[in-house]
This record gives sequence, C-alpha cells and structure tokens, in this order.
Amino acid sequence: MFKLRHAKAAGALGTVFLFVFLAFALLVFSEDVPRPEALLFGGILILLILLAYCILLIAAPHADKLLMLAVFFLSALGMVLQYRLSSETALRQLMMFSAGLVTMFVMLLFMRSPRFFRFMSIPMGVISIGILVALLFIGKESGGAKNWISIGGILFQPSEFVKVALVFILADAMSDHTHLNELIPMFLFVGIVTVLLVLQRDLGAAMLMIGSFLLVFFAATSNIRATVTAILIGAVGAFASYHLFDHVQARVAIWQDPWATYSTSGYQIAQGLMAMASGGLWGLGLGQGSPKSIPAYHTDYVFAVICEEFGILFAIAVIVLYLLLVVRGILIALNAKDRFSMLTAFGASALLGMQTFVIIGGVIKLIPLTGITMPFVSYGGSSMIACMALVGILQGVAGRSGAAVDAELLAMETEDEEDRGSELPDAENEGDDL
Amino acid sequence: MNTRRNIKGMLVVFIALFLLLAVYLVYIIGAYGAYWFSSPYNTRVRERQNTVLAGDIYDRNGIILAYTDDDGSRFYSADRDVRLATAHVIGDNTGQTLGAEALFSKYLLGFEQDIGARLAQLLENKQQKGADITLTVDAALCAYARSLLGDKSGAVFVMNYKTGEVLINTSSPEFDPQRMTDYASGNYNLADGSMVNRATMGRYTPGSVFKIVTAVAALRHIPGVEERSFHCDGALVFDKKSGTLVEGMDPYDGDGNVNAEYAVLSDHDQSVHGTLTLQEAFIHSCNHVFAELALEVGKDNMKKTAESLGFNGEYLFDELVAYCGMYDPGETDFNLAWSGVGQDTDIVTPVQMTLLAAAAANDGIAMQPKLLKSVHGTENTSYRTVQPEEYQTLLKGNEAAFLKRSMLGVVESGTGKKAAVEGLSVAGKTGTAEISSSGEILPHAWFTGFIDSDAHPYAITVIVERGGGGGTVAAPIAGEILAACCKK
Repeated sequence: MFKLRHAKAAGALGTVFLFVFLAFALLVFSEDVPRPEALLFGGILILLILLAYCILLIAAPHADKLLMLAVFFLSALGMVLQYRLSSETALRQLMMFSAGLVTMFVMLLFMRSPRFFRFMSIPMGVISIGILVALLFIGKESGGAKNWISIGGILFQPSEFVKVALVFILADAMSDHTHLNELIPMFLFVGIVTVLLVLQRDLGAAMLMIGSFLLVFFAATSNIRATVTAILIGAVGAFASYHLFDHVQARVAIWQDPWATYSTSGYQIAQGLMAMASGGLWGLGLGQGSPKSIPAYHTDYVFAVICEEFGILFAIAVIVLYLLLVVRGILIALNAKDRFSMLTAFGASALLGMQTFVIIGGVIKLIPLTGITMPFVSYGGSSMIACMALVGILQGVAGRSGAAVDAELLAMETEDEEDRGSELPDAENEGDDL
Repeated sequence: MNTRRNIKGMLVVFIALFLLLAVYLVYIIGAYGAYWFSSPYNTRVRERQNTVLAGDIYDRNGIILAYTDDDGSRFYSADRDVRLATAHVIGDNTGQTLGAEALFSKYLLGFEQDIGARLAQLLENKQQKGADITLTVDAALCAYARSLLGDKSGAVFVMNYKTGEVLINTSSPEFDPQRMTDYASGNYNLADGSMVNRATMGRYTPGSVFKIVTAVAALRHIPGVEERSFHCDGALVFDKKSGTLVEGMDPYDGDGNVNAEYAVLSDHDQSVHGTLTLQEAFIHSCNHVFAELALEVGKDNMKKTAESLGFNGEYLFDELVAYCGMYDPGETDFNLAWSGVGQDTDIVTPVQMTLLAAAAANDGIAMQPKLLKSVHGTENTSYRTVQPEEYQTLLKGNEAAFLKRSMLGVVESGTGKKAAVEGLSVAGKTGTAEISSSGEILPHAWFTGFIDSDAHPYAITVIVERGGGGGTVAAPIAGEILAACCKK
C-alpha cells in the first residue's frame, strides 16, 4: 500500500520538477540579456523541494503526500512567477519558502502533542490582540491598510499570524464546549480581532477571520440559529461599514464597474481584467505578457499574471489544485482521532480555502476585491510562513491519525474514483504489495 | 457525529465555490474577454505595435482597406470615399475608436500566432508580422450608402440575415483614420461624435419603427388581436395633469388648438384612418391604434416584450461592439401610449432594429452579426472562416410571419412605398421620430426592413438624422442600397 502511493507521489513530484525545470529554462531567455543563473535557481528549488519531501517522509510517514505536492507545485509556480518578474524578489521568496518549510516541520512536530497548543490558546489570544492594538499606533500603511509592522527593518504582517492563532483558539474553545454561554470568551476574541482589523482597514483579513470562525463554529456546534444570527450581525456590520467608510463604498463601486473609474480607483481591477483577457485560453507565454502594468502584480494580483502568461486553462488547473488542497485538508479533519485535531485541521483547511476563494474571486470580479494574498503563490514572507504553518497543522494531524486513517482515506478514494477502484478492488487489499 | 457530518457539508460547499470560480472565469473571459482585450487602455496592444508589423485588412472582395509599410507606418484606403465610409468599421490604430483595428488586434498584431509561425519569422530574422484579415463588409457598397446620406448625419447598416455577415456599416459624420494624430494634437477639429459608429452605438428615438415591438407585444398578450378590428378617429386625449386617458372628449377649442387641460396623441399629419385591422394599422402606421394597443397590453407586458427583444440589456457579440435600446413605459397612460409608438423615452440603435427585421425575415431567429470573414496565416492559408451562429430566437413563428406579411404590405401599399425595388420583394417599416416638441427641428427619418429572398437575404436599417419623414427620406435610400446590394 505504502509503496503504491509512494510510487504515484514520486511521479507527481517528477512532474513538479519537470515544470520547474522547463519554466526556469524559459526564464533564461525571458529578458533581453540571457540569465543562465535562472537554471541554478531552478536547481536549488528542485533540491529544496526534494529535501523537504524526504524529511517529511521520515518525520511523518503518514503525512498527506498529495497535499504536500499541491503545496510544492503552487509554491514553485509562485517562485517561477516571481523570477519572471524580478530575480531579487524571487530570491527573497525562496528564502521565505525555506523559512516556511521549517515552520511547517516545527508545527508538525508540535502537533504530536496537541496539549501544547491547547495550553497556549489563551496566551496566543492575548498576544494577538496585543499586536493588533499596537498596530493601530505603530503600524505602517500600505495599499490603504495599516497592517504592517517593522521589526529590525523587516516588515511583518501580524494579521497573518493571528490567522494561525485563530485556528487554535477556535478549536480549543469548541473542543469541549458547544453551549453559547461557555463560548463567550471566544466570541469576544473574534469580535475584538475583527473590529481591530476593520479599524486597520484590513478588510480582507477581517472577512477571512469572520468566515473561518463561522465555518468552524457551525461545524462544531451545529447551532444553525446562532450561525444565522452571526451572519446577520456580519451583514449588518458590512452594511454599516459600507455607509461609514468611503473606501468600502469605493470598493463596491469599482467592483460593479471598474471601467467607470479607470484612471483612479478602478485601475487595478481593469488592468487585471485586460491582462486575463489578453492571455486567452493558452496564455501569451511565460515572459511574453506585460504583467507589470497591473498594480500588486506579484502579490494580490498574481492570479491575473497566471491567466495572462499561462492562460485560462492553466489557471483553472491552479484552481483545481487549490481545491485538491482544501479537499485533502478536510479529509484529514474527517479522519482525525480527536475533536481538537479535527477542528484545527478543519479550521486550517477552511482558512486556506476561504483565502483562495476571496482573492481569486476578487481578481476575476466575482466578488468585491479585498487585498489579501494568494496562498503559496503571492510574494510575501508573512503570508508564506503563515500558510506553511497551516500546512504543518494539517500534516501533523494527518501524521497522528496514522495508518488507520490511511486505510479510511483509501476506502473513500475507492468510492470516489472508479479508476483507482480497478486497481484496488476493495479496501481489504490495501495491505498487498502492489 | 454531527461535527463530522457538518464538515462533510462544508466540503461540498467548498467544492461548489471552487467550481463557481472556474465556471465564472470561463464565462467572464468568454463573454467580455474580447472587449477587455481590445480596450484602448490595454497597453499590450500599443506596445505590440512597436515590435510587430500589423497585418492588412481587406474587404469581402479583396479590396485593401488598411496595411502597414516596411517602416511600420499604418495606411488606410487611398480612395478617400472608401476610407471615410469605412472609417468606423475599420477604426484606427491609436486606440481612439472601437473598429476592426482594435477588435481584431489579437490577429493583426499576432497575439494568436502559433509558435511555429513565430519561430519561422525568428529564424528568417524578419520582423514579426501579424495576420491579415478579411472583413465581411463591402467597401464599395459602404461608400455608395455613405454618398446617399449626403451631408446629413446618420447611419446605414446591412447584414445578411441568414449568416449574420455585416455587408454595410457606415456612419456620418465620419473621421479620417489617416489623420488621428492631427485630431489628438488639436490641429484639426472634428465635429462632435464623429468617431461614434452610429450604426452600432448611435442611440436614437425610434418613432414608428418601434411599432414592430408593440405589434409583437399585442400578438403575445392580446389573444385574437389579429382578427379584431380597431377604430381610428384621430387623436387620443389625455388629462394633462394626471396623464390618464380621457374618453369621448373633444380636446380642441374653436380655433382647432388643443385645450390647455388636455394632451393629445395623434398622427404626424392628424390623419384619421377609420376602421382597420392590426395589419392595416401597421401598414399605415396608425399611432391611434398602436397607442391603444400599448395601453391594452399594459406597462409590465410591454416592458417584458421589449426586454425579450433585447431592450434594457447588453449585446455581447463576438465581433462587434454594439449598444442595445432602452425601454421604459413610464408612469402614466400618456407615457405608456407614446412609448408604444416609439416616442417618450424610447431609445433604439440601428443595429438593434436590423436584428428585429432580420428575425422577422428569418423565422424569428436573429443571427449573430459577424464582421470577420477570415484570418490569413503567414503562408496565405486562411485558418479561420466565418461561421454562421444563431444569436437568439427573438420571435415566435406566428410573430415573424405576421411581421413579414405586414412589412411587405408597408412597402407594397403603405408608408414605405418608396423603398420598393423593381423585381425584389422588399419589406420594411418606416419611422419618423419627433425629437422636438415645437416642430422646429426636422424629425429623424427611419427605415428598417429586409428583402424577402433566399438569394438576397439582406436586412437593412437606414437612419437619417433630422432628415424628415421616414417614408419620404429613408425609404428611398434603403431601396437604392438594397438594389445595389443585389446587383453585386
């Protein structure tokens, strides 16, 4: 069983490497002067991924390989795009990716004893609120939101780390209690964090927190009435902020018609739309587009760059890859051995899923745009490390669930996928060495 | 366990959300991509012009309309009449208009070229050249149609109602695509709105050509309306304050002027048509009957019918940027009655009227207007040819049949007699759109119609701004253009 899955994973890993190699080979010629060092960069990236994969196999043999491969591919795609846009940012992104991998392994190890995180729940909550309050005074503004903090010359985005804390705090609070009265401290925490984020004009992060909170709350308590009430409160809050804040009104207006305000507030969305339209089905080709005309092309708007240079079909493949990531994450939650693990795994998956939906939906004009990063692909250290921490949580839970979980997963896959069913007639065969 | 069940539910929600992302991405790029790409703001197109030689543009008969010389300068037809008559449909290469230059820049500038063609050009060390394209328009016919408009503003639009190919699209006043830099620098002043393609984007009061819509509404919502007889005794009278219909009241004072308390709806020439059927009312363009029909159909159904015919919506054609009309029945009877005869706040575009006439001619089916006949590869192979495509079934069979009969009647014995062409069965509807209440400004003259023939399946709309009566000014122009189209 292990051998079979391992063999398949190796094939997929090879595909990732082939993509990285071909992309960086092309990137050698993407600018006027050839950049042979691109191949070196690609090589380092391949080695780094290979190393991380081997460590994962040793540290957690039951970790979810498909999930890991999806994360590797998305991160590699991010690095390819960053290198295409600027080799310096790509180098920094590579360092952040390494730091992210380290974070992932640390989280994975800590998740072996969930008690640690449960014990840390209250301190994390206090620290989160403390940082967010401090941001109001010492925060640096960027892109309309005052959500950056500078420590020793390095810029951090604390809301990214608050997201990870939120996953633990929600899971901890709702592992033992499901009655509303017992959950008041958690409600307070979520409420305060949201208000602070809105005050910093970090609407994207606020939306993510509330959304993930609602999903985990509903999953844990099955309390439809309270969930609907919370949604209503959120709707009233959204309505109020629409009328209170000009920038929220502007967001909605440019969502409805970015062309009307092309020269001012609609510029970014309109540029993104033109970039996507220019790519068409197959894309203009790596290095052939003009993505730098889009503001935030390497961070929030990286999906438009993908559409422009790689085309709609590839972009859909990216969406499917994110879906795979979320589905694997939720399957990990479903197979978790204890309630805390289940809720953390679900919270982490929900966060990643929401974040992906909100930013891609914003870029393609399905929903109003809020400035958040696209997990693993966007440039940004805080985002990369926070997302990798979430993956660490998922892999930790998956690893703990052990061989029994593997068996369950396989049974589900055989139900879902007929082609696999033919190779594995039924779950009892899993022990056979295929 | 409930939590597990809930999480499974969320799994389904996430799968649905991500599918929505993928589907919406495909939809929005499919529906709007071409427009966004050809947007004047898209710097990619302008940047390409510096590195790629744009391809040539030909008309359907192979007459060259635009080409690039070896220095990269863009030239348009040397024949001034042709150049001006096709200016709007060809557009310009500075991104100021939405013609073929902008819409098909992905071909002209080689965005769509496959890697083989690019490599071949690279190996031969030639500058990259985009693909040549052939349009569906006939340049000579455009110039002829333009000449018939004379010094009046207006537009002519002709399309093949079986294939959707646009044969004529000309608009007056025009600009000279060869002088775009002069316009931009302000060295040469252009009349306002000269760069607007009036055939596709000109928003006009329709006048009586709108009766096509009211007739369809009546057929749809009044059972047995074709068998009924109507009585036209001149003006319909409304209370001026409330706008409600007042029956059996003589609105005129001793001198023949309308009393201050009343407002009337009458025909342009105050004619009284007596007793007539729906078809006769259509043929003689009786305002009285059509106003009554609008009142009987009612606000909601009038609006519903108009919207089913493309009003208040958005045209998303693949190869043409076009606006649709607006219809609002208003608040009072007075508004509703006038809206039923194409006045009040009614707005249409020539392309929309052509689509309605085309649907009447083609069993209710409107073909999607097509402008691109073919794209030529580097080895002179055309790799993309026009494919007729249904746009929408606008009319039911009986509605199309009624309109065809009635529109033939208009040219045979009604208001559109001057559109008749020897040997062709021309059908149509005239319109005389009042644009000022004082009558100081001449009305817009409309004719929209088609030739009922499999050999010459052309639908046409002619609008002459401030031209006068539709039957006297627009109908004869339409007749001459249709005759010219069939000689080809």
